[in-house]
Order: sequence, then structure tokens, then C-alpha cells
Amino acid sequence: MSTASGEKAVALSARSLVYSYGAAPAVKGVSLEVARGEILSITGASGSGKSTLLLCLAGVLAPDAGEVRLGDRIISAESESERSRLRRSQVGVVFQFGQLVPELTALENVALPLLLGGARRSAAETAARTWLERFEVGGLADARPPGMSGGQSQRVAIARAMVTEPEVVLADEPTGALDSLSGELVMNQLVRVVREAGTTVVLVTHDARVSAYGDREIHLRDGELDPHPADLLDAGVS
Amino acid sequence: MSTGTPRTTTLLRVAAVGGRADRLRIALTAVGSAAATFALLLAAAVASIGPGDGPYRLNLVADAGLRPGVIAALLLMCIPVLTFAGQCSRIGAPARDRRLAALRMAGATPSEVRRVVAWETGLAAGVGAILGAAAYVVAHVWFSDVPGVTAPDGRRVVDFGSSSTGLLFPTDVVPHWWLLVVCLIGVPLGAALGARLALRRTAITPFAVVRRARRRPPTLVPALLFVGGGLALVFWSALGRALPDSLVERPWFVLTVPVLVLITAVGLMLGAASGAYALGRLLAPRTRRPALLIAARRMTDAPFTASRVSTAVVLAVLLGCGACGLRENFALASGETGPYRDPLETELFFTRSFEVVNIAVLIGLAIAAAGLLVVAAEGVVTRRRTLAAMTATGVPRRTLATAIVLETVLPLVPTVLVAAVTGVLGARGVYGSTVEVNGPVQPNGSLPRLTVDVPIPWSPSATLVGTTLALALVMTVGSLAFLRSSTDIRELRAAA
Repeated sequence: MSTASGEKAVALSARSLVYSYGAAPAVKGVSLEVARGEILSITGASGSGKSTLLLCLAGVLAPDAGEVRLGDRIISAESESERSRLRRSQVGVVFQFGQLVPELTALENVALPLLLGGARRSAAETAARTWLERFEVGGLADARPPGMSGGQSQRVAIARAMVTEPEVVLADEPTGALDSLSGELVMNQLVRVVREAGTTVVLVTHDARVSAYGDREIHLRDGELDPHPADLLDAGVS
Repeated sequence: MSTGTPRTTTLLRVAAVGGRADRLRIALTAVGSAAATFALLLAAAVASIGPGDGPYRLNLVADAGLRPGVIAALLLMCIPVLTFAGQCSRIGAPARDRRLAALRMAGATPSEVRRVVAWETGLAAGVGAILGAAAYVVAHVWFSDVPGVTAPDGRRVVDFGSSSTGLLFPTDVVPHWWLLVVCLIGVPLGAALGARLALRRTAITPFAVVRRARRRPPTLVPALLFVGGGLALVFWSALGRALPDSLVERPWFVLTVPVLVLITAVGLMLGAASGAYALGRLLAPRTRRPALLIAARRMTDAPFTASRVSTAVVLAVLLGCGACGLRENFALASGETGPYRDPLETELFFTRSFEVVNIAVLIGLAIAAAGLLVVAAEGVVTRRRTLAAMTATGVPRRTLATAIVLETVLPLVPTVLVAAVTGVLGARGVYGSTVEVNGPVQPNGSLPRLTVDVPIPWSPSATLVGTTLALALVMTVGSLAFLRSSTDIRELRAAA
């Protein structure tokens, strides 16, 4: 979607975001904007604050200072419960591993955000089945996460993030626990589906092959946006 | 897109899914609730006995004056039972915590996740309440209609009694309907509320369930409760004499005794954590033994484990030793025992009544020991990564096993001893350390009244303390069955 001046509308933005773990600052005054339908890659070394930034953008963490906007809504000022509800409506979240409920089947896992939103079970399962099929894991509907491969689990997790047709999907190292072939398959499917749906994606990774899927890339160093990431790459820091 | 609140069926579904450990937790919660409901219904039946009911063979039920004590004992019996159910709520906690965190990540609010936990406990307790009520109905019918077991030669092998010979239980009484409702609804409701209350210091984040355990246990409040309640019990008789008769003769004054017992017990139970903390601080810098050092540091780092272990044990020992003291007093005063035993006293009313009390204490102790096993085993399984890491770095399993036994049993020793002494002293304080009995018949036929000292029940109290500590030791050693699998090196490769 574009504005009258031809610029794409902003789906997600952060302004002067600060977050600390106790006395240790993790994110120091980061500002960014993500256009609607854009795939933004955030890269950086371990401990650079990229995952913390993503969690603030997802509303999982409440920043110490600054604000996060989702469209016109300032989510950083909302209560924990309101921010939780965002994750079953407007924001989808994908992690490296561990986000699926091991006791539920793949179908139930994908249907869960809809069920938490009060949807009828039949409607939620129909939608969940559709999304599982879009990620080519429809045959695993009745399987439980412990019985799936890493790549299959991750595609189920992405289907769960997409089932509510969110405006934004935030993915933290989505292929971090996968071998390169499975990682490529997962990324290809994710990009294909979000392009079709026009979903905005923020992708946190330290893998150059994964960040290459983004339309734009920003680099974090020590909790701040690094204006010269090329220098780091030249120095051999991934 | 619906963004309302989740349907109850969704919460039920999420609450009910789970693995073997979850099913075991739900089953044990149901069993605990069933036992509590049974005890409550029995108490309700005793409370509903009217003037025309009976007769009953059990003196404690037959004597109208002793019925409030029976009701109080049955209600107190619910404490170890419900404590056991509470201890069982930690079974499979790591897996449940992962599920709850995943639910939060999927968009569940903190309050919705707490509702899932409350539903799980409430449902299990509800099923337990129905089972307990069913067991009560079966027992009611069984003891009403089955006169006993008669051998082929006509001899009565088992006699449950009848309306003519005296009933064993008040099977001729149906509790008031509102008491039935309170028992059936109260248990699951209380369990669900307790489950929500238990999460008050727990943050369920999308990444993990974080328990904000206080590192330093409270000392002032438990000390005040224990010292205040204990001293009031010990000096109860003296206080009664000092207070004006108009106050002492009020019917509610007698209720101060169970209230004081409860206050003392709560102080002791809360103080168990402080005791463990102090013991750990005392031992850690002074020992050269690795097992004792690990145990002492655990006592200072997780002192509330000690109070979780000792809650029901302390109550059983406190009441058990108190009952021992009361039996010495009552049996002596009634001429059933002592140097001036009445040869005509063959009914042995108090001796037999206190045998029933002893059975109740033993049941309470058995439940407490089962709870101890659960807590000890859960402690081993929950810390499996730490234990596996310690084994991987060269700490022998034998040292870890010794440390686990020490950290459970060591804090229990002073707590159990203090509970025993408090029970005995409390009984002597309330009912006196001397009684008046009839002396030997004089040549002129008169019966002189003599004042004799009530003996201290050393032997039964020591037996109770020894049995309790031995049971605690056996249960803790039993929990070591999980140690080998918990120290498997593969635990270090699994996701936390």
C-alpha cells in the first residue's frame, strides 16, 4: 500500500528505543521504520541486541524508553495483556525453536492463536489446515512437535504465526536450528507466502544467506544501529 | 479476525493435554481431593448427629461432648491431604512451564494462562470430589447394610455393628444438604483458588515461567506466631486461672485451644524455611565434606524447599505428640492407667478413643511422607541439568545422592523435634501436669483424692519422632531412583 506521495505506508516503527537487562543496556536508542510489505533484515554479532530489539518490536518486552508503533497504535505504551493479544491478531512471532506446544498436534498448534481469540474450533481448524497446506506440511496435521524434524516444526511455527493473517511477522533466527538445505526451504516458503499476503517481515539473523532474503538490511553493534556494517564484514565479523 | 477471550473449551483442552507426568499430577490431585471430600463428608455426618441418632460403638462419636473434637480432627486431616495435593502440583512442572510459556508466546495473556492452571487443578479436584462423594456413599451403604462377616461356626469375625449393637460410623445420619453442597463445591473451588494463589509470585513470560522465590525467608512473623501461640498453649491453664471467670466460662473460650494450636503450627511451618536457612549458613563455612557443603548451600539458596517438605510432617508430629500428652492425662485421671489404676475401669474409654486418634495421626503421617517423596523426587528431576553438569564435571553420583538426602532430612530434624516438644508441652499446658485421682481404699472405706504427676509420654513421642524421621529418610532415599536418569549427560544437550 502506498501513500498519496507514492511512498509506502509505515507498518512498524521504533523511535529512540532503549532496553536494559538490569544494569546492562541491550538496545541504546534505536530508531527504525519498516514499510508495509517490506522484508527488513536485522543483522549483528551475538550480544549486539538484535533479538532484544525484535522482542520490543513484537511487544514481548516493554522498552525502558522510546516507543514502538504498529500502524497508528503505540504498542509500547500498552499493558502486557494488550500486547499479548497483539500476538494473536496483528503480530506473528517465529523463533529459532521452542515456540510450539509439544502436547498439541500441529493442527492444534496452528489453530491456537485463533482459539485464544475466541474463534470456533471448526473455523480455527479449517484456517489452520489451509495454512499448514500452504507451507506443505498439511500431512503433519495430527503429528506432535516432538515427532517432527526441525524444518517441519519451523514451517508449522511459521504457519502459526501467519494463521491470524497478521500485519507484521517478526522472526528471530528462524533457520538457526536447521541445516542449510532445510533453512533454505523454510526461507523460500516464508518469503513466497508473505509476498503473496503482503505481510511486513522483520527478520533477525546472523546468517548472511538468510539476511539476503530481505529487501533492506540494517546492522546492530553494541545495541546501536551501525552506519558502517561493511567495515565489520571486511574485518571478518559476521 | 476474532480477538475476544478464549472459549472455556479451549482452556479446558489446553489444561487437559499433557504427558505422563501431567496425567500423574492430575490423578494425584484428584486422589487428594477425593480423600479430603471423604473426610469432610464424614465430618459433616458427625456434625449432623441429632439426639435420637445412634447408638454408636465408637466412643469418640457416641459421646456428644467429644464430637466437636472429632470434627476438628477430620478437618485437620484435610490439611495434610490438601498439602499433599499442593505438593503434587509440582509434578511435571518443567514440561507444564514450557507449555505455559509457549501459550504466552502464541498470544495468551498472563491472566488467561493462570486460568488454564486453575482449570486444570479445579477440574482434577472436581473429579476427585465426585469420587470422594461416591466413596462416601459406598461406605455409607456398606456400613449400614452389611452386618459383618460371620464364620461357618457362627462366630462373628468382623462386626460393623447395627442399630441395636451400635454402629461403627454414623451411617444412620445423612448430612444436611447445605453441608453436602459446601463439601462438594468447596474442595474444587478451594483447589482452583489455591492454584491461582500459588502463582502469585510467578511470572509466566513467553520464554519461561519464572518463580520469584524470596532468597531470605521471613523470621519475625513465624517466630512471633510460634512463640506467641506456643507460650499461650503452655500457660493456657495458668492464663485461665488468671482471667476472670466470666471470660473463661464463655463457650467460645474453649475454641482458643485449636486456634492456638493452628497459630503455633503455622509459625512452625513458616519457620522451617528460616531454620533451614540458618542451618545452611551454620554448616556451609564449617564443613570439609563436599556432600554436606552442597546440601548446606542448597539450604541457604532454596530454604522454602524445607518448608514445603515439612508442612504436613510438622502438623502430624505436633498433633500426634499433643495427643500422646492428652492420653497420659485423661487415662491417668480416669483411673485407666497409673499407680492408682481403678480395677473396675474396664471400658478403657480414653485409651481406646486415643487408639483411633493414633490411627488418624498415622494416616496423616503416611500422607505427609508420600508428599515428601513427591517433593524430593520433583527436586531431583527439576534440577536435572544442574545435576548432570555436576556429574559431567566429576562430582560422584554418591556425593550428589548424599547431598540430596542431607538437604531434605537435616532441616527436618530440628523442626520435628521442636514440633514434638511443643505438642507435649502444649498438652500439659492446656490440661495440666498433675491430675487428681482416687487413692487406695482406706481401712475406714473412704477413697482419698490424691494429686499425681502426669508422666511425660517419652516413649510414644520418641516412637513418633523416630518413625517420622525414618519415614522421611526412606522417602528421600526413594527419590534417588530418579538420580541416575537425571544425571545422564544427554540432559546437557536437551533444550532447557
